[in-house]
Amino acid sequence: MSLHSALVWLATQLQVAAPERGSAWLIRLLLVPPKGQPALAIDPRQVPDPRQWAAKLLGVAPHAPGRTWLWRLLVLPPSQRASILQAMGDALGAVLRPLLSVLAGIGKLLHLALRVSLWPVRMAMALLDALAMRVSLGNVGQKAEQALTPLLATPGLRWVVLGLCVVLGLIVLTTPFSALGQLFFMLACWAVSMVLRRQPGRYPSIMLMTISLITLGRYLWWRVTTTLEFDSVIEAGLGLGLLAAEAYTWLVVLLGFIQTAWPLERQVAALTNDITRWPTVDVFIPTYNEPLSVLRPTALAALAMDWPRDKLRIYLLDDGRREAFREFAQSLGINYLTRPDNKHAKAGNLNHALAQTDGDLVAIFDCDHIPAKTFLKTCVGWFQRDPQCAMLQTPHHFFSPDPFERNLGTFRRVPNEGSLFYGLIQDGNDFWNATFFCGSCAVIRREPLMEVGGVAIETVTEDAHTALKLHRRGYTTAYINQTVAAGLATESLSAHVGQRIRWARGMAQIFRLDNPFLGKGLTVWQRICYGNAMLHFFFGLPRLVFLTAPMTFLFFEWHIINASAVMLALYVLPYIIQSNIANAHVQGKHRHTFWAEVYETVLATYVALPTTLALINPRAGKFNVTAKGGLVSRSFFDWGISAPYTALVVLNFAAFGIGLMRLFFWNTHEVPTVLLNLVWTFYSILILGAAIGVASEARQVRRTHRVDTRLAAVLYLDNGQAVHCECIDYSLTGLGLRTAPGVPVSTGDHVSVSLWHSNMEHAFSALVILNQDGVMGVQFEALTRQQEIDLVQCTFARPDAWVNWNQTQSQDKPLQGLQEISWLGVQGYVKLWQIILDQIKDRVRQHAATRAKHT
Amino acid sequence: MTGQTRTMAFISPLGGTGQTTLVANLAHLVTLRGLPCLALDLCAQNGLGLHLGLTETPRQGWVALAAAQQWWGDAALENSDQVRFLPFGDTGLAALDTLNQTLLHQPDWLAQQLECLALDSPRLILLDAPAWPAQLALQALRCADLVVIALDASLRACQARGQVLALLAQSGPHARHAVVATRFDPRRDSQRMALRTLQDQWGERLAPHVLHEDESAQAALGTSSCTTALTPQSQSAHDLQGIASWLLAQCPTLTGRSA
Repeated sequence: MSLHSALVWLATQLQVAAPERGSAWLIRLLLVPPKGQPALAIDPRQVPDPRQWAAKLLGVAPHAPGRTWLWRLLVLPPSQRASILQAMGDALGAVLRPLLSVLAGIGKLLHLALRVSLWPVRMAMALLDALAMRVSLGNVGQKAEQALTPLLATPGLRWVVLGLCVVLGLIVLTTPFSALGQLFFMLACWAVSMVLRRQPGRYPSIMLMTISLITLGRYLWWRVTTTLEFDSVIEAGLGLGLLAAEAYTWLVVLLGFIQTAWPLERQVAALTNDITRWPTVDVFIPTYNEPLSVLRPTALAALAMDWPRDKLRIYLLDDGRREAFREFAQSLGINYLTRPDNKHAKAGNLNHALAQTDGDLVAIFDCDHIPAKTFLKTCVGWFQRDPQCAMLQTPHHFFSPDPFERNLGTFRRVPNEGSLFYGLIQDGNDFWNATFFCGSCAVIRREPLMEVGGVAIETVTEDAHTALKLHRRGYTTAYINQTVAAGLATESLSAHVGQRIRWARGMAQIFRLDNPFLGKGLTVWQRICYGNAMLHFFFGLPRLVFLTAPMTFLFFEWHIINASAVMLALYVLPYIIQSNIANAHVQGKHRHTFWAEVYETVLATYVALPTTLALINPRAGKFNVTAKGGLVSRSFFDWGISAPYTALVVLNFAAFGIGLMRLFFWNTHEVPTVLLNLVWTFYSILILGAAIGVASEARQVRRTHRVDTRLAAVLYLDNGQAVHCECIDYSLTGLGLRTAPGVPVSTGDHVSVSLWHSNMEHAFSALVILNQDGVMGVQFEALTRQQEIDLVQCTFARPDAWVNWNQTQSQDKPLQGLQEISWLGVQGYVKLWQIILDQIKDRVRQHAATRAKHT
Repeated sequence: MTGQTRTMAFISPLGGTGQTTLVANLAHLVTLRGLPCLALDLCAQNGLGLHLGLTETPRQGWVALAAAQQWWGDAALENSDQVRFLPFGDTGLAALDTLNQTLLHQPDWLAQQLECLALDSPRLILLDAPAWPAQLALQALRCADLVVIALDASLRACQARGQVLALLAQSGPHARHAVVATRFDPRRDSQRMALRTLQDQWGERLAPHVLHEDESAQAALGTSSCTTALTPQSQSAHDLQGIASWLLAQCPTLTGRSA
């Protein structure tokens, strides 16, 4: 019996008057037909055939084989897909919209409640800010130092004071408080730091650090002495694991404060007047697989560096042994060096070159770091002033966005990962004479370098290890925070992650093979700086612990911290808040609170394993080169790279769902504990969302990166007119120009454009490829070698090229940052949702296309 | 009106350096900046007026008046931008001869005439002198507070250094010297080399702004106006703005209201 005949039979039984109408069926289902009426004879043709209806809906022939039906049930026919998807979307929207508006209503209520409950906090903040305006601690620190310095010179007094401080500190850290007492302590710390944070300068920074360390110490003491009683072995294991992860963060906070306590901010030292006594410099440009287009500007800029010709030799160290590179080097008149093997990668390459050359100093540039004309004049002075100076490092600046900046849209707005390191940490290291060598944009004195056996080859981060060896020999190093070279950031997220894995592994290797805390030759402060740099890269495991810790309770009800949620909050909150306030004061210009969380979250899963493995077997693993200068040609989601944190997202969402059940139904007896874990999970979800946002690669439009600028330029037209204009961006292949409106130029015209360097104008012939509303894009045509050199000099190698690059960055505002991160997190999920939808659509489309091809 | 009248003399041992263009534009810019000024055409080509609003060379000029022992200021013209100038005039040989005789016998003739003009209260007098050496050029040189040498960026200009030095040796004891490089086209290697040489030769005395070879200047002349008025977006107008500021700064007592 077919479905249709069953329906006809049903219609007859129910006496449906008009079976083609749904409403007639409904009436008959509810109302019995009036008695005495003659029985209706139902015409089967009146009754709709469900098979026909379904066939029409699914787009199959009514008598198609079952296989096709099944297929159509799952996959839409190409013609109908769009409209049906649309209809489905509409239906979904109709259901979701009221739901969303209800949710929005709840959200608004919550927001209002939050505002009301936070009102006292805001009032207190306003009051404290007002107080901070009246209080000026501007020179209290200096005065105190002046007064205390002679006193502390008394022998032994230093130790007495230190001992007193330790005793006092221990008393403060170990005194147990009731919940109320701890609350008052928290408020007091907060109030003092709210006033202090408005005070500029280093002494307030140090005071904030001290407060932060006190809250940290109290939390530590409380955590270790009262929260480590567990009901079961598994809880004990997990609880101690969490404690270990926390201990790691405490250590990093402490060492970080020491490292950045007093950034040196070294200035450039002047060179001696006698040019004949200037040292000879070998410039090494190691390359392996980078394209010639990446190397070209670097070589040209190196050639143009401001240094006596007879004291400057440039070497291209090509581990790729490419003929084109040899020819290029020859055409520029620079030396070209190769070696028979690629042993020890970049370190080996440099060592090979060191054996072939004899300059007093060695300047090293990765082949994508373009030095400014003034590089050597900026760096070499310190080698003359300080004969013990073995290495001088300058910052690595990137004029293209790294994957984080590109995918989150934060380029030139939020300081990137490197900004903290080069803006603050290296300056801090410099104070302790512990500047790290970063492999590029640095100058090394040959003699000490040869003394430690050349560039270190034991690890994959040869640079940091080399500096460590130099420091062990008692040499000094220097850091000048002036951007006198710039380069390309890594292109794709996978390449970026690969680079960070290498750093992490190398640091772990050094930690095992040449541990800075052991061995001789280092001051305690140097040990701390190196130790912290290495510890920093072990963030992987702790981060994973923090992302999963609340799940132990939410999934399994294991209590891995034996304390009431309220007490835990009262101890952990001051620690978190105070270290954030202190960090915002110290690092505000170079790092924005919470952004590091996103960076670390993305990298955690990748870094965790290599660092652990390198700790176990430091000799495994080899050097891999970071790919640069490529192009992400279409937006895509890097599933491979984001698989681990996609899994974490799913787990966290599941935990959150279960947590809600626990909150309302299952664990109503421990609401604060559930709430604490829920808040923790919610925060993880937001951070993971931002991480997801990083993984969806935004499309890059240009192959070569343009650097924004404002330079005077002249546009020469074919008719002899010279038009004044402004160069707004540049790359090695073209320029962006802004002109007054009405310049008689159209796309496809051949023009010349000139720029200036060292008081001379240089013209370059170019093709107009865009001309819109006074903004013009031109592409260079057939430049001679000399013109290429001039172009690099007019643009990338200008002495002031990178002077104000960080002006567009804003000061850290932690709460605003939290908002922004949350928003990015939400956006990350929206992006992910769209990407999943798109990918499903793509699959369907491809499938339909292949089917169409077959039929 | 307070302050002294200052005189800038534009002289060059070379012709075709764009000197008249320079003077006309300077007069325009200086007037625009609120500094009363008068440009004097001392060249027999009589071309200055063509940059300042005249469609053909003026018949009436100061030479004829001077030859007729009349007040030469009567020949002054003022254009719609309030730029005042004194044209040379379409002069017969007889008048020129008279002028030359006067100049020969009265080495201070031009200076005296300018002093009389000064009563008329221009604060800046621009002299567009004929090619060196000429009597009129010599007299212009002697009354200048600032001697401006226009040199086109070319090999001949580099080689003219000796002549320029000889010329400058004739200037007044307190006169200051300035060199302006003109007609520069960076697309030509010879010109860039020449400019580099000029920079080395003249150092601080060379204006930091170089006047570019620009069709806009010719286009402006075609409409009887100067580049800075007609096509302010052109590179030459931009250069002239810079040159004007720099030259005014070389006469320390001179500052325009908006300069």
